[in-house]
Amino acid sequence: MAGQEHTVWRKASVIALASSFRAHAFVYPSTPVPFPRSDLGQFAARALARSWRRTVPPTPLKPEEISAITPLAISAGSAALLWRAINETDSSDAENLRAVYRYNAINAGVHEIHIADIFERMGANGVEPILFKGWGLARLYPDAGFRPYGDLDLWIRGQELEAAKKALPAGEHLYCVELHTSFYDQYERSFDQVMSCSQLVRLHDVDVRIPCAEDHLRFICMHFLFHGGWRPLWLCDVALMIESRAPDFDWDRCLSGKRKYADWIACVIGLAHQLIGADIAGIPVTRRAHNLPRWLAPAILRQWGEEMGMSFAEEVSFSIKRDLGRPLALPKHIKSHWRNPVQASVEMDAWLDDRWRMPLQAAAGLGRLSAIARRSAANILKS
Amino acid sequence: MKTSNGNLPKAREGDLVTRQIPGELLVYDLERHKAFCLNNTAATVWKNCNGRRNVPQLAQLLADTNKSRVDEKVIWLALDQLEKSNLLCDQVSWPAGLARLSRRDLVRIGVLGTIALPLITMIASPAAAQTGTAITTSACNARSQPNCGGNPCSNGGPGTHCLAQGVSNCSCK
Repeated sequence: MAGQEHTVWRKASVIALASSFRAHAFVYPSTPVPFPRSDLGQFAARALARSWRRTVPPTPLKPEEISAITPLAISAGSAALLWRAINETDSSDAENLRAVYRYNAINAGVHEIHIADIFERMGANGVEPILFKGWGLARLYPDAGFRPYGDLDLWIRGQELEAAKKALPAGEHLYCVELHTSFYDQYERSFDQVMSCSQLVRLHDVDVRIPCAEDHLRFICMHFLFHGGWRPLWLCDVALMIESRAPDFDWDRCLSGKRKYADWIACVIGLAHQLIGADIAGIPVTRRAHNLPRWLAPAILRQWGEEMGMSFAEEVSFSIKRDLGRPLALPKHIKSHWRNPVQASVEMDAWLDDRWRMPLQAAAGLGRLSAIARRSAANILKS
Repeated sequence: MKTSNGNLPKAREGDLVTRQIPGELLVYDLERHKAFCLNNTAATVWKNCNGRRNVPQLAQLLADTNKSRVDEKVIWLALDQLEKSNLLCDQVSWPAGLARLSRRDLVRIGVLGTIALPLITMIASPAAAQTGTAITTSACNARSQPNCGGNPCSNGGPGTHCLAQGVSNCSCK
């Protein structure tokens, strides 16, 4: 996530998803996919359509199509929603997906105690964090097990950073909190602005502060774009937030700021509508949501069909040492860092219009070259 | 571990997180960091182990709940699994002459009613990438504490995460 991040990985007094738990890993068999990658994103979209609702329509997918996207769904965090969508089918993948749902469901219970513990400690140290994403979104789903999350993203005031770090219990590991003192510039909201409209939600007798729905929706739309939209689950979050918004949802608050960024948000809402069937009736950006740039939805579907998504790409700066002896491998790694049109556009702060994206992708690549070169040199020197 | 008096099993209550999902009860042991899935039969037995009911009473309760006759051996099987999963306060004192039975044994000797045999399974972690952004082993190794991040490792083996190693390093484990 852009902005200032400070990851703290500490052991909680009572909670830790310890390695003993994780060691019994569920390994999904890697089988050849009988469909072109370009189809897989389409399958994922069809399978997840309306899967966040209380009542889920029966999946239109054939069993072999479900099998093809099951590994993708597991790796991208949407397995439980997929299981929900195919619950009534006799797909052979249903049991594997259900196993993921079980894991998510009990994990959610553990995380909730964890979050309450963190907020209690923060409060005792005079720190007022705001929790973004994660539980703040999972709580909106019919069952928290449908929406997995890992680290806890807390936005705090810069001057409270040290106190926040001290508030977390000392220890060896397994307590992942990401402390943020700023977010994307394009979010255009200060901590105090978000705080002024935030809400307190009771969790295990502790007040947990989350942003108001308007600020949260704006944030998750930005987050989706800056990560190239690679997780379908994130678009389900957007769809769910739109459909579960209160009647007095303040669209002005959500969209206010530069027109370009309001347009970005409108485009994400449009994707949620066009790809997974979010109901956008009555929202002020309906026209834009129906008229997205031609390249946008196909780019997202292509990304969803990729096995891992760009966030899994190995850092070129780390691989370069190894690849110096294997020059043929280097282009492959560099290619894996090639930004998709969505991520390139937002990184280059461009409008999401119908113009050709390749120049932006090239510019984003060039922009990263200097950073990669700097890190590579440092790594080579270090070794 | 203590031995319970007179086979009045008592379910553990502390340091557990439970979550009911359709047809199953999920339990996370905060002491041992293990998660279990109890089917309805095992869950019913466990939830009714209050330290005051003995095995015949538990069998009767299960029978009433399911409107079906329940052999006491089913309860013993459940208690055996609950004990092995550390979900009971005390060790169950096994009656002399009653061998520990497996589910297969019960099927073989014909102890099958209309209820499902108790089953407790350990919940496994799904693929590493379920939560958080995955990084590679080399990316993890290049980090230093306290910024290991805890991200899943994409090539460090299933279920591995980037965690603190030694005084200042990070590694996938």
